[in-house]
Parts: sequence; structure tokens; C-alpha cells
Amino acid sequence: MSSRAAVLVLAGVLASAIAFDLWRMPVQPSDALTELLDAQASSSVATSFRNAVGTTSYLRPLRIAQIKALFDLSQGHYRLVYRGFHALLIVALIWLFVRALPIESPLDAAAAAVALTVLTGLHTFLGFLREAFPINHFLEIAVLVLIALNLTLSNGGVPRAGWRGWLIDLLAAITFVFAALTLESGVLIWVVIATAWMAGLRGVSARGLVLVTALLAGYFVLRFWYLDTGLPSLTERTSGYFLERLEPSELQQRFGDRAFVFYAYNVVASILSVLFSEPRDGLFVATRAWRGGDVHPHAYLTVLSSLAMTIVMAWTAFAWWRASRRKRATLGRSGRLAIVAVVVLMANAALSFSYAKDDIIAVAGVFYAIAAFASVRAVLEYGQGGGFMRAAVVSIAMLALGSAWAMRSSGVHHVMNEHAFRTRNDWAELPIKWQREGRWPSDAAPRALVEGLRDIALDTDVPNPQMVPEWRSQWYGD
Amino acid sequence: MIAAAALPAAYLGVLTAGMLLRAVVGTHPLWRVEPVNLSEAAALRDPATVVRLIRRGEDPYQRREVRADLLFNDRAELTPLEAAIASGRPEVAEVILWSAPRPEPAVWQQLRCLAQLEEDEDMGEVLDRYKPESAVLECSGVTRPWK
Repeated sequence: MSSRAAVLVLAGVLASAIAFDLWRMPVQPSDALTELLDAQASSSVATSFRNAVGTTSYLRPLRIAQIKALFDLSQGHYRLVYRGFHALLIVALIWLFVRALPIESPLDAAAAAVALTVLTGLHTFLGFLREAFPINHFLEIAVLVLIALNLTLSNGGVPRAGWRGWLIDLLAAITFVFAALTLESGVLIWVVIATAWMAGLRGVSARGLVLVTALLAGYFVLRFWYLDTGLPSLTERTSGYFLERLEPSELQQRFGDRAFVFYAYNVVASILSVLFSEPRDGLFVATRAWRGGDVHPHAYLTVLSSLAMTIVMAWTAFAWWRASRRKRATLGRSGRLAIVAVVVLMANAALSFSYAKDDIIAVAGVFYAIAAFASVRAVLEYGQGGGFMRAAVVSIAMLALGSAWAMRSSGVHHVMNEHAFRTRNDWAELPIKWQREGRWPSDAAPRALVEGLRDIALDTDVPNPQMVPEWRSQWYGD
Repeated sequence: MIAAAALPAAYLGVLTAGMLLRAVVGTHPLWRVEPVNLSEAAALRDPATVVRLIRRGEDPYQRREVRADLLFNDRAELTPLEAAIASGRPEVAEVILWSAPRPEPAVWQQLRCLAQLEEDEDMGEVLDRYKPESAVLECSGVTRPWK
């Protein structure tokens, strides 16, 4: 079996297991149900698209149009279509991730195996699984960004001549348009294509880059000038700030006349979150737990494994920088990917300026795993280039680091379990809450939709987290 | 060295593959559901299972065994609403009351007094919303049915 095939088998197993969890999870009522009712009420996909164009703060017409398209496609089989689509996206994400990695030797395969556990074990990955509105658009954007990355890597990162070159450039443009009109973080497609081009990965040609840049300019003109959509305000939602969670009114009171302080905090918090798994959603949860004397093993596991991996990355970057100064060494493909990863992290964090949320920074989490591949690969090469002692130290360090990340990755299933339990219970309580709030549908069609979805959720077998061994929540969190 | 780096991920892959194989035959280790009765579901804060069992025709006012260590160290005989009160879950109590016929005045009185004994104001509010018309609140002599 080739090294790439071995990694693909591992990726296939991990992806299938997560897809199975997703399949067992009911469609969530919070956020998703209103969207589904809107989709039911809308006469067509085009109408849904048009209605979403004129909204304020956000320009996401394809998000709404997709929900409607899947709704029409489902013909009442909501779980099959929405959960099936979610599972399909996660399989696509993991496959595209592996596809982007240069795996040509057992050493590459070992680095890729560790990177897979980083991808699936990082806390931002959970944002791809837990939330669905009823489509997980954060996951969708990550898949589209990985498509763009794979396009830049096509033909060995060299532009193709003739119609194939045109096709790749066109695909890059379509990917950008689709992503940008789905979520704001879709503009990361441009970041990936532009950075990859500058780093020497030019599967998308200069012509393609110009085309996508023109589309980016068009997006800004459409959003800020023609439609005057604007940006989200301070008072849209609660947000973490150091050790406290602030309500919109508190945010307005504290940062109303100096919003840039809050925005700067969010950008820095987002970067730290990816690099150190702390803060989470803008809140320093592990620090708060430590101050309160109630730190679970999960907090140590996440923060220390992230800290160790980030130190490995910093060491690799320093080693590359030193080598490039001494020998004018050229950067390999994994080094170029690492450069793209750093820029995506910065850009994704900048896009999180309005509020820090793990889901928004999730694309950067995927690129953190790509950087982990490059770094682990470099460390293994370093280990091979020395004597017995160096090899022994690297082996022990890699075993410890790999074990910590494998442990984190295995926790995904536990978290999904807990989330499924909470979601199913939300459905049980939904009619009571909605009737009390006067939101319960009076018309037969929407009522049948809500009751149908509730029946599906209640009929799904979900284990009670209180009946599983306590060590799981201690080590995996929730 | 390469083996040391790859070993944890490979081990995870083998364990996950085993989990998937068990899922095919319906015994996924993480999605295995332990059967519970209506009172246990209420005690374990599982309103979805509560609704499902009531829909299947189980009597929400009947006492059932709650196994030792689920709610108390010892086993107990409780109705689902008593279990919800004992575990301090007003949302579970509300789901039961919303899904089931209204309680008899005497039953309601017993439950309301238990909520009072537990000093659970939220629970009291939930029970007050489902108060039978002829019920009165008289708690002398009411004691907890659990130790």
C-alpha cells in the first residue's frame, strides 16, 4: 500500500465515523427551524435568493437559497437531505484536506496522520459538526476554501496551458462567488488563491488571480456601495471578553465610543484561540477554571497539546528562516502550504473582528492542521538527520504529541453525543416554549413541518450522557 | 521515529474502524442506549425520552423503580414528576405535565407540597401553571417519598 493510500484509509475511517455521528444527530431547532419555515413559505429558490439580498448587516443570499433548494429536494425527507448533506460535506472536507498534502513517503504519511488528528481534534472542528442552520455554512466555506487550495496545487502548482488552464481559473472564480455570497468568510478564497500564487503555488494562473481579484472588488462594491449592506453592529449578540461574557447592552456601554478596542480584542483572541485553544469564543475558559480551582483534564489536554504543536511550528519556522539565510534554500510544497496557512490565520482572524466565535475561525483551524503537517514533517526530517540520541528524543516527543492529539480527536464522538442529546431535548421542550412565546404556527402546513421534525428527533435513539463513564466528560469536555 | 509519530493516529484509526464495524451490526459503543423507565428518564433530565414513553402509553402518574446511583445512592420508587422534583428539573416536570392529562387535585397537591419542601420556586411556578381547578394547597403531613 502506498503512503498516500494508507493516509486515505485513515482519513476514510475517521470521516465515516464522524459522518455516522452526524447522521444520528437530529436537525437542531434553534436557528435552523426558523430558516426551514421560511424555506417552506418561500415560493422558489430564486425568491429566497432575492429576498436575502436586501437585508442589512449581512449579504448571504446563497445561504438562504441553498436552504430552500435542499428543502425542495427533500420532499419531506428532511433528515435524509440535511443530515446527509452535512455528512457529505465532512467527508469532502477530510478528503480535500488529505488531497492538498504532499504525501510521497512514509515520513510524509506519518506527518499527515498527525495532521489528521489535529484537524479533527482542534476545538474549532467542532464548529463544523455542532451547528447547522440547517446547513453548516462554516463547514461549507471550509470545503470551498480547500477546493480553492487544491486548484492552486493542480498540475504541481504550475499554470496549465490551453482550455484546462481556463477551466481551473473559471472554477476558482465560481468557487469565490459561491463562497462570498454564502458567508462573509467566503472572501478567504481570494486570500488563499492570492497567497498561494505569491508563494509559488500557481495552479490558478495570474489570469485566474486577476479574475478573482476583480470579483472581490465587485463584491465590495456590491455590498458597501450598491446595496449598502454595511457591517454587523456591536449589539448583535453576546460576546466573550477576557474572563466574562458581555451582553449586547454591556458591549454598547463599554465599547460604544471605542469599538476598535473590542474589535482588536476579537482579532487577537481569534488568533490565540487557534494557536493555543484558549480563549474559546472570546472567553478565557481554561484560565477562568484555573482561577476557580476547577480545571478538568480536558483543559490541560487541549491547551498543552496546542501549545506544544504551536511551539513545534515556531521552531520549524525559525529553522526554515535560518536555513534560507544560510543556504538560500528553496521552500518545498509543505513550506509554501505553511505560508498560506499563516496568512489564512491572520485573514480569518481579521474577519472575526465583530465577535470572536470558534465557528468563524474554523477555516483557520483547518489551515493550522496543514501547518502542523509541515512542521511535524520538518521535525521528523530533522530527527532523521542526526544520531541516535536526536532520533530518540524526537521519537518520544512525537509519540507524546501524537497521542495528545489522537486523544483530542477521539473526543469528537463524545461531544457529538452530548450535542445530540441536548438537541433532542430541545425538540421535546419546543412546543411549550413556542406556545408561551406566541411563536407556535397557527397554519396547518408549518405546524405539520414542526411536528414532523419533532417526531423524527424524538424517535432518534440518543444515549444519555449522564449514563456514560464520568471520565469521558472529564477528558473530552462538552 | 516515523512509527512513533504515526502510532497514535494509527491506533485511533483501528479503534474507530472497530467502532464502525460495531455500528453496522447496531452495537456502536458510543451510541448504545441504556433502556430506562419513565421515572428514570425524568430523574436523568431526559425530557425527549419522557415524551416518547408517554406517547407509547406509559402512565405518567405511576410509581416506578429508579435504580440505585441514578438519582440517590439507594433505589427509590417514584413517579416521573416526583423524580423531576427530586432532581430539581422544572423543565422536565413541565414536559410531563404538558404531554400528559392534568393531574388529579390530590396528586397535584402532593407534588406542589414536595416542591415547597424542596424550596424550588421554579418548580412551584411550573406546577401552578397546571393546577387543577379544585385543587388546594395544604401541605401538613406531606413528606418526601425518598430518603
